[in-house]
Amino acid sequence: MKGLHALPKSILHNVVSHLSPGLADLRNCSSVCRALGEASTTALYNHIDLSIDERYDPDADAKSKRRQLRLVRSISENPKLGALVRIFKNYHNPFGDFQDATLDPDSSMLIGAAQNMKNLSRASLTPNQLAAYIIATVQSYPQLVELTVYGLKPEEHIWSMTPTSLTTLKWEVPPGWNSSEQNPWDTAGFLVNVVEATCPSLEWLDISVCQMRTSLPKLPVVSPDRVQQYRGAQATPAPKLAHLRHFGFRYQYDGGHRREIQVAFLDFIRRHRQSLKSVTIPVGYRPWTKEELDFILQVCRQLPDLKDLTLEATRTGQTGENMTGYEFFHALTTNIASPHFSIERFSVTNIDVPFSPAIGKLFRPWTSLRFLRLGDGDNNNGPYRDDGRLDFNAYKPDLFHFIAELPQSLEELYLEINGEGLCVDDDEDFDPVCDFGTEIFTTLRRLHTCDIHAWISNLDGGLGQIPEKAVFYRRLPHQNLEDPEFPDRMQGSKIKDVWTSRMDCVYQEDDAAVTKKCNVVELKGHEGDFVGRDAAKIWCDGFTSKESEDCPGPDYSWPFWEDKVKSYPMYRRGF
Amino acid sequence: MSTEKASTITLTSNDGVSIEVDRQVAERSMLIKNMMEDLGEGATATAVPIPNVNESVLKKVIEWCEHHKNDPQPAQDDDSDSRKKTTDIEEWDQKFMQVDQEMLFEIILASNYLDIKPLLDVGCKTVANMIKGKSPEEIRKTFNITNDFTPEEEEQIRRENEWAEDR
Repeated sequence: MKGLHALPKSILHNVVSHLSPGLADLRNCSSVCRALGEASTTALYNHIDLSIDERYDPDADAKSKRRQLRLVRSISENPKLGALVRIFKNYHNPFGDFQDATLDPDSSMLIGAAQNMKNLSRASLTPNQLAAYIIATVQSYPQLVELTVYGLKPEEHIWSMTPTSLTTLKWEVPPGWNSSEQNPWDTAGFLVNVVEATCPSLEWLDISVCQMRTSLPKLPVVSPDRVQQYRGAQATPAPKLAHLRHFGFRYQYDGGHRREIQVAFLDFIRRHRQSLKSVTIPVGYRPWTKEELDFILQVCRQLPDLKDLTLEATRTGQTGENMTGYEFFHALTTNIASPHFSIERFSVTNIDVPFSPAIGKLFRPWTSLRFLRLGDGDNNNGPYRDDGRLDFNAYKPDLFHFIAELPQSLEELYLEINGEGLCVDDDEDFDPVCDFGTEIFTTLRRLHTCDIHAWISNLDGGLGQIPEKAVFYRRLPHQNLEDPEFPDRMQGSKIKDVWTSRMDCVYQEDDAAVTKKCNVVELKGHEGDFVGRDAAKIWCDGFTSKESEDCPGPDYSWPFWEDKVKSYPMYRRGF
Repeated sequence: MSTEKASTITLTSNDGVSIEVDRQVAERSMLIKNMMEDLGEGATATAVPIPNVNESVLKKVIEWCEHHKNDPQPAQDDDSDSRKKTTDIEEWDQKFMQVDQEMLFEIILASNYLDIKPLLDVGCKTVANMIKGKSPEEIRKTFNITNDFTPEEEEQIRRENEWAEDR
């Protein structure tokens, strides 16, 4: 008789993939027999994420720490387990108190674990001995293609001058103590030298120079000779990164070196103009200026295939002739419009003006635009401030008509309302922007995703790690199973389900209140069709806070708990 | 006489039974679909041998394909984080899978051979649901598995995987 243990390996792997997230089930399977053990152990160690959801619960933290330490020790002691790890992620929260197990003083355990994880393909690392070892010996991880580093200085922790397999490198560099005087390109330029010499397959490079909020642990650094080799490397006019699709550079303070940074940035862009399709440009803090606009246009004009443009605000003020948000975006959208440009994705954290139909209209010439992420101007100085509150009811008409004016090509829209210093009295005050899903999707027929995140203050007057209020509209196929014409209608382009999820942070509560509802939207014969693909799922997989009420007293300790709301990837992260 | 007869394919099980199936139904199997595409229209005339599957299992698989013939083709699944998968099974499939273990594993193997990913997934989810919440000994009992670890190996595994223990 054919039995479970006699099934082919690939099928057993499929079976155990459906056991998760129940780690306990995987653990139980691991000791049933060799066949099931192999499949379940592979699943247990494939993806190691040391992130925890900090709830300031000492008991949970103690459990998390004990379990993480046991895991790192297992990987360190058993090379077979280490070899199963493909994805490794340190816990990274610049505001947090919790430090993961890789800050343990036991160097031999940490280095042993790093050595055993020889099949890593993705790593996200913070300052610790395990991370420093991996970075310094990156060539001994032949499958490592995606590396993210937070808080280590490349001038102290870098690999030798031989080729690596990296295709993606994201490095968040802490500046020196004199951060406000230092030129952030010093470090970025060093990293550019490194990747040009050692990363022939690199496609994605993001460099951020920002202040770390926590003090960094003391770690052994690589030899100065190694660092010197890269310093001596001379840039050549020919691009060494022939596959580079994206380059992003962000920093907080320019230390008075704005002009030098712009020259160096532009020089890098020029050298890689043939392959670059995506760029993140550091721009000065508001207001917009003519000088800033000229720099952005200079960059864009270098890039014939530019598809993805992000403007990332620094904390350094601008110089030059001031422009209003409207003037700035009018000039930008006109100058990089079709047919010479076909921008598909555009992001700006603060457009320095409220959303309005006039601003929406400016994006009309961008007929290829599929993804738009915009933050509005500071509402504390804006027209919708009402006695310390943000008046969403007054903002609603302009907000809706802003959306309605956007190009019909748009598929995803993320709007951030910047209201630091403003709050609302009651949750109901946010209602006005939570009820226009139907109108949005019947107006923009290709749109399937629309978020509005309100970064307003809590009752303490500060901003939280996630927005205080948010609404998430999703267009999905119609799913009425009792419909006699199902599934024909489900496939149709006339009828859709519009899901509205809403999140409200509750003051001093760890869990946000999340609700969802569905409206069926049907277009009449003469009204045309919905176009393009639908959203993959309801926001947060359809999670509502009622679900967490159903399981009282969950265990918040690692690795059994993940806060789905807080880990939503489209929330703006601290910089 | 109707000339609009639906295109059909004859499948032959490994115990020599021929079964006629609508081409649309049979093409839930990517193996058959690709074979038809490679061989062209003339291929429908000859019977397709399915060497690894007997009549009763083949009929069961065809029953599933019949019920799901209008489902959209599954997207290519590049899921590196398997922890996000769910074990929800729709009601009809749950009833369909209420068979003895031998038949369950035969369906899984047949769907694997015939490359019918959604059926394979339903089968694997059914097995996963039978494992959930059980201790190693209970799992062995449920599936009649002999423990082939030495006591020392078992102890090592228990210790190494202690981090995944909810206590």
